[in-house]
Amino acid sequence: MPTRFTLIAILVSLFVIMGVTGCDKTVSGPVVRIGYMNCNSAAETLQRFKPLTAYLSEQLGRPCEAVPVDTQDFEEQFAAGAFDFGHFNSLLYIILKENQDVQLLATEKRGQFGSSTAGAIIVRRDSSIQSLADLRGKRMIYGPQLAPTGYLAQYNLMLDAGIDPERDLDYYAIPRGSFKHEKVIYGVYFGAFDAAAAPVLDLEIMTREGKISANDFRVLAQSEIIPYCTFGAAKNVDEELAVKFRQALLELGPDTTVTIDGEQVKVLKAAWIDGFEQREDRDYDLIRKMARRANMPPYQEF
Amino acid sequence: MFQDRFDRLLFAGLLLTVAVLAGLLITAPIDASHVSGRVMDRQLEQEMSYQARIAFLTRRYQPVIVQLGQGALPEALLTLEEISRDLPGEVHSDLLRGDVFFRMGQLDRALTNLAVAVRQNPDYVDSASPLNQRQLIDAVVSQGMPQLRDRLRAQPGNRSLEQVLKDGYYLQSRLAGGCE
Amino acid sequence: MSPNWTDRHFWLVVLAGSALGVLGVLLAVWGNPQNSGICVSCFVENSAGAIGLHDNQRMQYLRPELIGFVIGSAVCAVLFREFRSRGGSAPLPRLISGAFLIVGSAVFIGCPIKLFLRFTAGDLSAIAGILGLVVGVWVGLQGLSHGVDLGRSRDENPGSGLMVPALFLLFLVFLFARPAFILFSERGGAAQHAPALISLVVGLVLGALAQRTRFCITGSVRDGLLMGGRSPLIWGLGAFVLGAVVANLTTGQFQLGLYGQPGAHTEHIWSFLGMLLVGWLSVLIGGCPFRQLVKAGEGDVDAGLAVVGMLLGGGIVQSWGMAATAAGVSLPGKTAVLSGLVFILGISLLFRDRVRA
Repeated sequence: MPTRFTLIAILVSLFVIMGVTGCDKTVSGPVVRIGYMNCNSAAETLQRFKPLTAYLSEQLGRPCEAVPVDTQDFEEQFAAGAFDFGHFNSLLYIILKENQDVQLLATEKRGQFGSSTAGAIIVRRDSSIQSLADLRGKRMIYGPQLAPTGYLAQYNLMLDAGIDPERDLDYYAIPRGSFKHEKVIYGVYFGAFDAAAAPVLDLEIMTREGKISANDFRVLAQSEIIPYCTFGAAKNVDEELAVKFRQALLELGPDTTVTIDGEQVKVLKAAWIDGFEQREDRDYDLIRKMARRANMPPYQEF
Repeated sequence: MFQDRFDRLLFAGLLLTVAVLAGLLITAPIDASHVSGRVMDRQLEQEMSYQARIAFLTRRYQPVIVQLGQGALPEALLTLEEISRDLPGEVHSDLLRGDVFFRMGQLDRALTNLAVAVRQNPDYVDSASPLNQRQLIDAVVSQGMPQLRDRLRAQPGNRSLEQVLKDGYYLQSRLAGGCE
Repeated sequence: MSPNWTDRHFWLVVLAGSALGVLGVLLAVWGNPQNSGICVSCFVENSAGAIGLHDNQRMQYLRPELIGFVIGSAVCAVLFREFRSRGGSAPLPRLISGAFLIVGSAVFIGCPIKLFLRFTAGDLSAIAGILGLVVGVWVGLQGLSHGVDLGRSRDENPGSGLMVPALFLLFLVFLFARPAFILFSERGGAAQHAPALISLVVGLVLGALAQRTRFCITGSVRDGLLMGGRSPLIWGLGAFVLGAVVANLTTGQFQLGLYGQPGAHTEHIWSFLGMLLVGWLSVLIGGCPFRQLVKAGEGDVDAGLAVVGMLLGGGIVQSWGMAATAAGVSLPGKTAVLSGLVFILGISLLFRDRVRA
């Protein structure tokens, strides 16, 4: 007859075995494809999001694959069912919500505004331009058209001030290639343009990195604050999987690591992200209002 | 108690030593330099380093204060970012960020930043301190908390809002006083 | 289950309880931190800082209340011929227990007196602490009934019992003479204090009353568990609660709620464990921090060692970042509470008279 001590020892051993097996997360099942919007290049996107994808794979217990996608191709690929989840800017979110019924999961936090951000119209500190009204007849540089805080927000600011960027400016340009937002800011800094549509986050990052000084520019106007980049799930994704995905994102902390090629990598740091927040779809209504006013997708009328 | 000569000797020695001690304390010049400077000046040193810190913060963050006065809120945030590069752990940046976000109407961000600042430096809720910012913090809490509770009622279980609410409760608790 | 209503001692206990409750609230009105009119552990941390045992510049003040408790008790004990030097019962465990009393209190943010002051001011987060204290006292009593005992004290040379009162007399001189090596905060919790003379007088009165009645919070809980309503002390605790509630209501300090309370956090498990540690230790060494001061005043050298341990603990919890704040309990604080529980479990094993049990 086993003694009380033996019974306790058996129970403890069982708990230890359960704990150890619980830690070993097996990954199996169909591949979960995650589309990531390219900021600069596919290679950079993959490098940034490889650890996050590995982390999600661990948390979901399913193999995950990162798919870099250009902004303008995102909707088409999403509609074709190329991925189950997507990471995109907030304008793309409202387009996908409107057209593809994408489900909001979590909003990315980055910089001083957390999970929000804003767009600004900037001029050089020594510029004679004092107000938005002074922009008439001036040269201006914008970010890419589907950039909520590099184009849409500033376009609206100007419309609100009674300036039609299409007619009232001398001309406006959009830089080509990668690092468009930096090019926009440098465009004003080096005097190639009189004013620029700069995302506040890029101004913040470039200031932090010492590329520009807070004193180099004046902010003529700053837009209302809108949600930043967003994770969403395709409408046909299993509800339970989507909830797990959101949980995994919200649980990410600065010290969360994954093993990539034998090295421990900090997930958030690698992805240039501070964390994730749970937000509501109605928080994006401001962007919808802006898109309508600027006659942009998903409300564009010809 | 005084049963023999040795007792009396001890008692006499005790009285003499007490008298010498009293005499020393009464006649000693009240001049810290006569004693170990390090021990005697500790309070003064603490006060000096505190005053130096206040002066440093005032000087270093003066451009932000000017920008706040001019209503140049985006520029103030950029200046804070620049200062944070030189002083990465300085929570005065978080305090001023809280102020900027409050002026921008971003109450969640204001609460979060102010909570970070007060956690690291309780002087911001201390009315006896030159760094006292109770008025600002009280305004953010009293405006932000009802809004936050309403939003949480609409979205129960939203962990991001719960975290901000926790920051708000922390600030409320600090404003209410009590021991630290 | 009712007490002897005609007993003079019973009414003296009720008077002591109500005085502690009412004056505890009034001291906060007169300048002490909110809900901390009397908080022995906070005051010990302040005093430890004042004599240089830690360098938290916001927590340095020689609290006159503590001086009053010890000297009031000593004077009263001498007047009523109850001053008796005694000691020799497990000196080092008592010293360390004193330190852990402050650890447990610091993690909860308050000693058992403040626990009830917080509760009577409407702070519902104190409920976890009350539960912890009651459970701690109950576990302690279980230990006693199973033979856990630090050993008997014996009479000592009268000089031994004078040491702690003399130390606090010296603190009294420092309080008013303000020598440069004694530190006084100019901001923070320690800078908030009632006028020193008022604090001192309140301390003297309460110290004397506590010496005459043996009233203390954990003692009341202990006697309540053992004797129910027959114990005068539990009625003293009732009078404390009633007096403090009335005083809080009349002075406008009552604020019912769980969140945003002064000097409180909502990590209820740690509040529970912190007070459990305090309750358990208090039963083992014969009283909460307040009672240790009073006993030290009447010549109890064992309690005197606990008081020295409390001062050391006050320095350590601040220097090592163990003290909780409204933001919550730090990792060192959690570690210290668990270490305290390890300590008392170990002591219970080592100091157990298994034959008697």
